[in-house]
Amino acid sequence: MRSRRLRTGFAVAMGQIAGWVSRAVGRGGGTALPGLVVDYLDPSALAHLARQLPGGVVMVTGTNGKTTTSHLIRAMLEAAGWAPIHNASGSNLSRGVLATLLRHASFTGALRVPENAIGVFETDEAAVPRVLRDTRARVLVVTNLFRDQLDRYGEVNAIAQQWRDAISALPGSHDLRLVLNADDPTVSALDGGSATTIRFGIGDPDVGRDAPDHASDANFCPVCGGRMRYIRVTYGHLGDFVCDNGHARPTPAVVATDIQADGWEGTAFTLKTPRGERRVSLPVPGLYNVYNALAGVASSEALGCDLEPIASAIGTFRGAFGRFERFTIDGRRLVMVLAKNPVGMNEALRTVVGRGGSGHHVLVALNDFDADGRDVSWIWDADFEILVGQVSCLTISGHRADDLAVRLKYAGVIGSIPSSGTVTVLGGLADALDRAVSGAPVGGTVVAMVTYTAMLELRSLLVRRGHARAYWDDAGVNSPEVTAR
Amino acid sequence: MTINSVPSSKVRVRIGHLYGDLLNLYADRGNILVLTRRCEWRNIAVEVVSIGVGDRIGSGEFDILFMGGGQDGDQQFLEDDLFRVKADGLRGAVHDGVPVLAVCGSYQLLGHYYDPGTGPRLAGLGIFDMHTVHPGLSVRRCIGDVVVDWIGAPVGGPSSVVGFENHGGRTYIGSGARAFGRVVSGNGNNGEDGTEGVVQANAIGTYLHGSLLPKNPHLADHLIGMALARQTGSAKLEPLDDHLEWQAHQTILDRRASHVAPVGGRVKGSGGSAR
Repeated sequence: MRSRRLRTGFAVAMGQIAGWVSRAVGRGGGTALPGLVVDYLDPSALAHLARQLPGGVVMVTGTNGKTTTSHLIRAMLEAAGWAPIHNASGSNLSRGVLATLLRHASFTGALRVPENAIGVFETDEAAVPRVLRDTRARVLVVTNLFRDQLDRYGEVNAIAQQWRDAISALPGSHDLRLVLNADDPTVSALDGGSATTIRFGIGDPDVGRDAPDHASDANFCPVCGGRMRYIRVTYGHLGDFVCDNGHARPTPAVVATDIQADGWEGTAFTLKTPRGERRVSLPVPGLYNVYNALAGVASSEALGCDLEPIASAIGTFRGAFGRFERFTIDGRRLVMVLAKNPVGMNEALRTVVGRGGSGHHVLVALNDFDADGRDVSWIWDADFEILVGQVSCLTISGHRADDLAVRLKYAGVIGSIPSSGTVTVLGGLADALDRAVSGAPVGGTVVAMVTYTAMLELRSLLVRRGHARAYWDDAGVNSPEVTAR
Repeated sequence: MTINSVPSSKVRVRIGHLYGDLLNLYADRGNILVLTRRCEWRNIAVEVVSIGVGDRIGSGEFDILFMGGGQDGDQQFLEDDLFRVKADGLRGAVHDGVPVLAVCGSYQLLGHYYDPGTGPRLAGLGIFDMHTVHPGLSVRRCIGDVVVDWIGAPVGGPSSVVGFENHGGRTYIGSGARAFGRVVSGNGNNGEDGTEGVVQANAIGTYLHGSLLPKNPHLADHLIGMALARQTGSAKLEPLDDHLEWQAHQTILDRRASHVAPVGGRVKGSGGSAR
C-alpha cells in the first residue's frame, strides 16, 4: 500500500510540474498535459484521486451538448450548495479529467477539496468506459447520440454498445444513477429498463416537425430492431416515437412544456419535475439548449437537490464558451455558434433563420483536424438549404473552405445571394472574420457557425484582440492554450 | 454557349436511390444532389425516386441507380429485401448497361461474399466479381483521403478522382472485373494490390465517399452522360462552370502532393500499406 501511494505521489508531483511548465511557456492552460504525464506514470491515479471526492462524480456524455450541460450542472450544483470540481475547458478525455483533479491534489496524492466537493466531468464518448470504471461515477448523464466523426468513433450503434458494456461491467456494489434523454430512442434504451433511471424530454406538442432530419441515426428500434415511426420530431432524431412492435418513448420524469423562443435572448418554458413546476427563462437560444437544461435538472434530481436553486440557476446561466457566445466588435455583434456535426449545424441554421427576416450576415468555417473529424462528408448531411434566400453576405472559411463552398453552391445558397450581397471564400480565419465584420452595418449581427478547432481559433483571435475572456479563466487556470478534446 | 446535340426537352434522367431513406451514412445525399443539379443546370429533366423496402426495380425504369452505405445493423435489416425483391432488377439493370454507383457498404454487398472473419461468410448479390474479407478488429481500418487514377476516365480530361475512405473490410477483385482506379495515395480496395473499386459494364463500385461526386464533377458527368447515351446515342454534355468543384479537388491533390506521381509519370503500384 505504501509503495502504491509513493507511486501516485511521485506521478502527481511530476504532473504538477508539467502543468507549471505548460503554463509558464505559454503553450498550455494545463488542461490536458499534466493528466497525460500522470496517467503514463501511474494508470491508477485517476481512480485514486476521483474516489476521494466526498460528493462522488457526475459524468456527462453524448454527441452534442456535453459542455453546455456540464456547465449548467456545475451552476445548478453550486446554487444547491455543492462545490463542483469541473473540467470546464472541455478537455474531456481521461487525461483532461485527471488534469482537473490534479489541480486539487497534494504532492502525496491526497485530494484537498472541501467536504461538499463533487466532480462534474464532461466525458468524451470514447472515454466513457475508462472514466466510468475508474471514477465510480454516481450519475451518468447521456444527452443524445448522433453521428459525429465516423472516422474516429465508428458508427453510432457501436458507441451505444460500448456504453452498455461499460455499464454492465460495473460491480454490483456500484450504485449508478442514469440520466437519459427519453426523446432519443438509442439513449433512452441504454438502461435496459432499470428502475433507478431518470429520464428527461420535451412534452410540448407544438414544438417540432413530423419527420426526422435527412441524416437520421435511429431508423430502427434499439430494443427489437423493428422499424421506428415518429409522431413528432424536435431535433435530429429526437422526439416522440414508437416502433412497429410497440416499443414507445418512455414517459420522462423531467419535462419542458409551453416552450417559447425569444430570438437570440433565449427560451422560456415550464419545467415539470417530481418536485414541482416552475416557469423558467433560459438565456441561451436553441431548442437543444432546452434539452441541456432538462439534463441538468434531471441530474440535480438524481442527486436529491431542491428545485428552487436549480430553477434560479437556469435563469442566470451565461452559456459555455463558443456556444451562442456573443461579442461586440467595432459596433457589430458577433454570435459564435459551435456546429460540428449535421444535427448541430441544422439547429444552428434553424436558429439563425428562425429569428425571421432575411439579409443575414453569415460566416461558416470548416476545419478537418482530428478534433473536428478528418472526414468532412457530414456537411452534405447538414441542411444548408435552410439558408437559401436568407443571406446577403456569406463568408466561407477554414481549412476545408473549398469543400464548404461546393456544398453551399449545390445547396443553392450561393446562387440565392442578391447582387448587392457578397460571397467570399477565404481560408484564413482572421481575414475571414475581418471581412465578415466589416461587411456588416454598424449595429448589425454576424453569425459565425464554426467547427470545433475553428471555434477555438476564432475565440483565441478574439481574446488577443481584447473582445473575449480566455475560456481557461473559467476553469481556474490562467494561461493560453488551444486544447484538442 | 450553345446547347449541343442532346435534345434536352426530350430526354429525362430518372435516378433510383436504393433505400434512400435508410442507407445514408456517408453523406450519400451529396452524390444524389450533384447528379440532380448538374442535370437541372443543363435543362435536362431529372427525377429522383427513393426505392424502398418492398419496391421492385422494373426493367428500363431507371436511367441511373445509386446505392450508399448504412450502419452495420441497418444493412442486415435490408439484406433480406435486397435478395428477395431487388436482386433480379438490379442484375438486369447492370446487364442492360444502366449506370450504377455503389458506395462503401453497398459496394461490399454487391460482391460474391463478405467474410466477417469472426463467423460464417455472408453471401452477396454477386453482381460484381469480387469478395471482401474483414481481417479482424485488431487490424486497422482503412481511413483517410484517397487519390486514385481513374482507369476509364474520358480521354482528354483529368483522370484523378479524390475521396475519403473508412472501411474495415479488404476487397479483392476477380478476373471478370476491372478496377475502377489505381491507387495514388490511400488504401483503396485492400491496401495491397493498388486497386480501388470495381467496374462491370456501366456499374461502378467504390469505397470513396466525401461525398464522392461533388469533388469529382467529371465522374458525375460520366454517369449522366452514360444515362443520356442510352436514350440519344450521345453522351455529350454542355460544360458547366466547375471552378469551385475543381478547387476542392485540387485541395486534396495538394495535401497529398508528396504521394502523387508527376504528370505522365508512372502511378505508384501499391496503395501504401494500411496505417
